[in-house]
Parts: sequence; C-alpha cells; structure tokens
Amino acid sequence: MRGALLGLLLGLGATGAQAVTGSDPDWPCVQRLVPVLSAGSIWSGPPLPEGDSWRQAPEVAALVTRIAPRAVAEPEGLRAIEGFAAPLSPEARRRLVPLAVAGTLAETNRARSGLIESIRGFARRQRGLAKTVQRLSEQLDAADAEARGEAAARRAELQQRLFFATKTFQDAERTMRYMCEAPVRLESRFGAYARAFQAALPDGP
Amino acid sequence: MPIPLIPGAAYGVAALLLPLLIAQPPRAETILVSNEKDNTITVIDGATLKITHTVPVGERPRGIVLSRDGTQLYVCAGDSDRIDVLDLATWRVVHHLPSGSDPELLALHPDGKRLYVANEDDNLVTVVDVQQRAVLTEIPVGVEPEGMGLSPDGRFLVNTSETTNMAHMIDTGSGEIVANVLVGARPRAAVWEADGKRFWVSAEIGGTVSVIDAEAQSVTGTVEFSVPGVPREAVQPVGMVFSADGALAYVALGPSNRVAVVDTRSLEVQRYLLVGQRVWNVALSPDGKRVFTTNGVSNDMSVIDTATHRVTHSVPVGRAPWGVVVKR
Repeated sequence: MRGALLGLLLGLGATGAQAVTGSDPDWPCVQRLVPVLSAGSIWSGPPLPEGDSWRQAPEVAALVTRIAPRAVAEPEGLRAIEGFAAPLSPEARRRLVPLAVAGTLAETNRARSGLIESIRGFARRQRGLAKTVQRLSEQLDAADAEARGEAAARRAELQQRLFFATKTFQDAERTMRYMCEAPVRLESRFGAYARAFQAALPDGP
Repeated sequence: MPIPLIPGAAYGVAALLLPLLIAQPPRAETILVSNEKDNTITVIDGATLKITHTVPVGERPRGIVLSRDGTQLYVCAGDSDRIDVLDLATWRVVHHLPSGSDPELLALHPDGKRLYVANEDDNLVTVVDVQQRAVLTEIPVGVEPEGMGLSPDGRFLVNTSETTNMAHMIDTGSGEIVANVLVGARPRAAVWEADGKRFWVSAEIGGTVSVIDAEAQSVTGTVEFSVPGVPREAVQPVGMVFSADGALAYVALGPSNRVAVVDTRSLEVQRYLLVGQRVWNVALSPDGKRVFTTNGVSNDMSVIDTATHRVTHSVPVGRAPWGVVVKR
C-alpha cells in the first residue's frame, strides 16, 4: 500500500511525470511551457510598435491599465475596448489600436510571467515534499514494528508525520492542476482582446 | 452563432469574401466536436454552421470516432473510464462500452467491430468489440500511449507513446508489436496516407512530424516548421489530416495558433494559416472542400476553405474543444 503510494508520489504525480519527459523539472503542468506570448501567434493586423511607446499615449495607457490586470474578467475588458474605440476617428484608430495591442500584450506577459514563476516555486516545494515523504517512509520501514516503549512512540510519531506530509502533498497536487489553468486563462483572454482590437481597425488602407 | 472571420479587414479582404459566403451551396454534412471541459458534444450543421444540438456525455470527452455506418459516435470519456455510444438520430447516449482506465484516443478497425482504445494511465491499448460490448484483449505498449492510427487495410495499428517517444506498429491479427520506431519528443497523432504506404507521426515537444515508410518500418522524412514571429516552443504539431487527393497535409500546430499546409511529396510547408488559439485537431469535410479545427483555448472551431486556403469562419463551441469528426 505504502509502496504504491510512493510510486504515485515519485513517479506519476504531476511533478514526477514532467521529470520523466526531461524537458523542465520545475514546470509541473501538462501543457508545454510557452514562456512568453508572442504577437505573431495571435495578431495578424499591422505591425506593432516596439518597446513601451504605448505608455506615451495617455488614453492607451489608461485602457491597458484597466484591462490587463489578472483579475479583470474578459467581458469587462471587451466592453472597455469597445468604449475606447467607439469615439475615435478611423485615423486615430489606425494609430492607437496597434499601440493598445502592444501595451496589452506586454502587460499580459508581465502578469503571466508572475504566474509562471509562482507555479515553478510551487513545483519546487512539491519536489521537496516528495523527498520528505520518501525519507519518512524509509525511516518507518527501518523502524522495528514490534518495538515497545520509547521506540514504539517514535514509530507512531513517524507514522503521523508521514500521514500529514503525504496529505499535504496530495492536496497541493490538486491546487497545482488549478494553478496550471491560470496562464491559459490569460492567453485566452488576450486572444479575445486581440480579436476585439482587430475588429476595431478601420477597413481600407 | 458563426462569426465570419475577416482576417485582413484592414486590407479590404472582406469585400472579396462576401460573394463566397453567399454562394455557398447547401451541404448535408454534420460536424461533431467534443468539449473536454464541458462534458458535451457540440453538433454543427455543415450548411449553416449553426449549432443544432449540445449533447451531454461522460466526463472529459476527448477522442471521438464515427461508427462504420455513420449512425453512432464513439466518445472517449476519460474521467468516466468508459466509451459513450451516442446515437446520431436521437442525439442520446444509448449505451457504454468498456474501455479500460482513462481512455483518450481511439481508432475503429475497417471491420467496424474492433475498437482500439489508448489507456494513458495503464500503458495499454484495449481492444473492444463494439457489438458484443466486451473487451477482446489488452496490448501492453510504451509509457503513456496516445495517438492511434489504423492502416487503411486494417492490418496494422500504429500507437504512439508520449514518454517513450516511439511509434509502435502492432499487427492487428496477432496483437503483437512488430516494430518500434523512434520519433520526436512527445509523439501525439498517427495518421496513414490513403494508399497505406506511409504514416505520419506528430511530435508535440519535438516540434516535428516524422514520415514513416510502413514496409521499411523506418523514418524516411521529417517535416520541420518555422512560423515567422512565433517562438519555437509554441510550435507544437498535434492533429493531422490529408487533403482528398492526398497532395497536402494539414497539420495543427497547437499554441502557435496555426495550421500548416504541407506538400506530401516534398514535405515542405507551403503556408501557415492563422486559426483560433491552441489548435488541437483537424477534420476534412467529405467533399474535401473544408477543413475544420478545434481550438482549445479560444473555445471555437475554425473553418478553412481548401481551395483558397483562407480561414473563413470561427464557430464558438463548448469549453476546451478537443476532437472533431464530420458525418456525411
């Protein structure tokens, strides 16, 4: 029973499975890590300005600050984009929309990098925890099951520590599956924003 | 509701597309999409691209395949550890098939009876008789079996294993593995060319597609991808389908949000088409005129016109769309 559990912890848990593929031991998610979202993978409109020139246009900077934080729900962000574009002349849209896309992408990447770092940190803690479980399990195997007195008390304590370490590990695995979805949600929201910006561009050259 | 996609709106392409959309003849086909996170199958009318049904199925539906007569859909319900059988006249799950644990992908033998199911957790391929509704046999394969491709004559099943980075050729008569071919890292799909001489295996992490000669049982060519402006790690080949004449292959490239159009002779990429986000699987319409893609992050299905190689529509479906098949 305990052997099977250990196998699960060390071999088949999310952290273990990733280690087997050998790509990045600190990346625990099923989805292959794409560290940075690129404009080229989503945007097919005119070229985007480089750097943070988007910060120089106050209305663009205000929009980006409103729609890019992690907590903003997609429909709310889409309404803000609509509100941003509606009063603009075609010429202003042609000038400001690419700036707004560049700013939204940069800020989305910044938020996403933060998430990715916390997932990595979480995965490192999980690996540490898996080692603790293994160590406790080995100590318990070595302890004399027939022992009495102080030795028996030590063994009972080991058993309890193993139980709690295992439980913490398993709970954290569930949390991790949820955490792994967060960068995907940002990617999905950015895609929806990009399509809204694309639709806001005027027709014609 | 289908949203006409206007990729080059700024360049006046919309006006060119319009007559194409209006001139579309009625089509009898039906498109079926499995939604991994909604536990449903979305049913789309091919003529109008409108959703006609959303059918609840077991948990985490991914791989789907039509019965030989086209009256039923077999659905891998991974987290329910079973195959749901969906009746396409009444749009109800009429019964289940045993599948082994966590079925992800499946392939139906040309005999219409033997269903081959990949069990990711158990490193097995389970063979199910769809008429007796019973497991016929289990074939041990590599670690984390994934893609399943049956040769057109049904003699060989190719199964890929994610962790072993191999394509296993299995003789369907004996149930024995007859060859193991090393391919790119984390192989996903395996599809056969119509004449049965070669099969293609996509590698999600390797970022390539291996083309394997079935008789020589070895890799004879590799398709490489490079999407301008997109980092290499975002180019993740997954689902594949051949054009009706076999001259082209359409390869889904995951989070690069592109479908590559590949010349099957030269193995060169002719172009990359921008579709929805995290494009995962692809299917060809029976008349060969359209390719449908499932986009797992943008929750839609893209429609590609194979004559113009334009992405003409985006049809919102359920959450995390995964598999797609087309019924005549």
